[in-house]
Amino acid sequence: MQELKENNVLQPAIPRSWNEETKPHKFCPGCGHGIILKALGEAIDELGIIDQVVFGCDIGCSLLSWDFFACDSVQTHHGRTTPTITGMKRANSDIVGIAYMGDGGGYAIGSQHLFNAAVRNERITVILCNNCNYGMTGGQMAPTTLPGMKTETSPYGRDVNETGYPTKGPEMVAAVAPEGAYVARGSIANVRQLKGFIKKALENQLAGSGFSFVECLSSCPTNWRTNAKQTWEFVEKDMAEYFKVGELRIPQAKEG
Amino acid sequence: MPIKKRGTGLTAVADAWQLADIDVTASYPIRPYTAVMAEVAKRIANGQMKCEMVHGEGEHAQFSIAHGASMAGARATTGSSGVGVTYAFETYSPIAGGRCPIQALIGDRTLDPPGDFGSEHTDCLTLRDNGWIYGWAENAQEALDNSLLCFRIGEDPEIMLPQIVAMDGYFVTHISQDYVMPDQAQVDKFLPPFKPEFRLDVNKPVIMGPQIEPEMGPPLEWDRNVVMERVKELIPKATAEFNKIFGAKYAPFVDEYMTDDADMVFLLQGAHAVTCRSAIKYLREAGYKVGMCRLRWIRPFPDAALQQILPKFKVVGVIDTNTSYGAAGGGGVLLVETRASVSEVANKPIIQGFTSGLGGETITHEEFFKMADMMKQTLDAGKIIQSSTWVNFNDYDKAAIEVKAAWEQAAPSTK
Repeated sequence: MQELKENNVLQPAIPRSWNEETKPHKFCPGCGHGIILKALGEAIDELGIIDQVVFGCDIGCSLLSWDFFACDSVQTHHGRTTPTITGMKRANSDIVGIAYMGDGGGYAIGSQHLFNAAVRNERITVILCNNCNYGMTGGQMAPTTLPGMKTETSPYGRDVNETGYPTKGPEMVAAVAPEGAYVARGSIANVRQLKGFIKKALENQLAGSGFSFVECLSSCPTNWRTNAKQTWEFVEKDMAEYFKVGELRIPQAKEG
Repeated sequence: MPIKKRGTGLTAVADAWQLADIDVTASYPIRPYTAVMAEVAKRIANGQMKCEMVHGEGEHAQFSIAHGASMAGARATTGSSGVGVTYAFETYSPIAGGRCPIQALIGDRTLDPPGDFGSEHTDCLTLRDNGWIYGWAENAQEALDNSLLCFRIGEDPEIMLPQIVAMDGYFVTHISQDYVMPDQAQVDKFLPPFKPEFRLDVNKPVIMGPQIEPEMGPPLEWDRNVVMERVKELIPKATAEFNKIFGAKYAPFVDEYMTDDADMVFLLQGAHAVTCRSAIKYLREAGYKVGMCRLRWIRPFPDAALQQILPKFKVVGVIDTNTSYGAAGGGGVLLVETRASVSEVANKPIIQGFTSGLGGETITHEEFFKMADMMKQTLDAGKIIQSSTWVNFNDYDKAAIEVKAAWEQAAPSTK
């Protein structure tokens, strides 16, 4: 849907759950965060749950979404958005708790939080943006940096003998979460599918089924130092080759 | 040959680490510390430095990796900023208590809230009771020099304590400035290789950091206390030797500026001293007999030096670029420590506190002028008018009162 604005600029419709006053958003041009948050916003709209949502963002570029949605929002650091949202959900089971973070927060400094929330099957939704580096601090090597990929702290490419292989987060979560959890990996290269995964994750929380986790393959042309074509090639080919897109855990349909 | 360079406090410390030939470094990105991590990674990749570099999974891991490396006999470094510093909090006492002389670089940053990127000394000052040796560098040169000096003091067999090379985030960590990278031969003369007597050794097994009985703790704590006192004795000796080898002119504890005939002095630490000196020149022209005392160390706190120096003055204005909510006197950490240092000294000056430079704001000339004005009022009154003042919030100088009145007149509705 597109609508003609007062100033005759063709403006794509933005999700109703977005906070329009804070748009255009603060992310770099070409960043994938806006795409992920649009998919999330549309999923929230379609489920009609904006009045229930508490949105938590983490440290790093994800924190730039602290005023992204027209709902209660909170920002914490170091991956502890997951336990913070857990606390809110435990205090008030009527809310829909969404923890939004990057790969640094989820897989490095806050990995124990993600891991243990999954083990406890907390009824919350974690959405994680994987862009293969620490974006906000200037593009250092992250747990998700691909083998051979150049970053500010791996100037000749990631050496897997020295630094290991990239973390596969959804696989880790899928391995430890009990029955009832929903785990998927989507990509900004397929927004319709990504939105579907996010919607299922939220539905899983609404149903009280268990933990839900969606990793989103995303882009960071600023730190990758790539043009538009190279950026999309990296997301669609290089990242998707290592990080397989799809659903890893779907709760069994309840009998009766 | 020493090399003239242009760089930041972080590249200067990378130079020091290169010259000190560190064995292991552990990192995790957080601004403004991050730049040293990139610099060291680049130097390792280029073969300029030979050391193990671990990308930790957070600051708690970073400091633990450096701790482990030190227990295995390595010269190890790490570092952080702001909430990264506090994330690693659990590790500081075990590292010092385990007598592991690792070195951390801290480019200070405001804690949350507000989580801005500004420089503030609070992050690093929260560590002051853990037994680390540290002080703030005023510029890139002093950051480099403090790094070498810290290794030397901390690794002394009679000391064996970890150190922090602290510096104001952005002002020192990121502003490009001139400095001299000393010659390797000078450094080798000043800093012997790290050869600790007790370290993990398969041929001489030892147990490090075990859980012990309660009664075994106090003797270890007494030992840590004694050693910190010993650091106070070593600092002047090591500084004198440093000055001799490198041709520097550092005061061991307190850097004094225009104090010879001063009635009043600003007492502070770190990069704001640069602006302070400049402001003092103007204040002198305006007739204020004012000087500056800059602390080179916060741990150990230079109490004996201040007992010698401060009675020369009538009023001391302690500038805290940190917060310590509810502290005695209502100011920050430096105010409490300074007052405590001279509490039993005859002819002690009147000591008042100022909180300024929070959130990474420059302490401007105007703010120094305001502080001087308020100190002058104290001097004239011969007693404390206000124990501590948050500059721009509850100033009591004439200009500030006039400005406030003008604002209220211009916008009476905001009353």
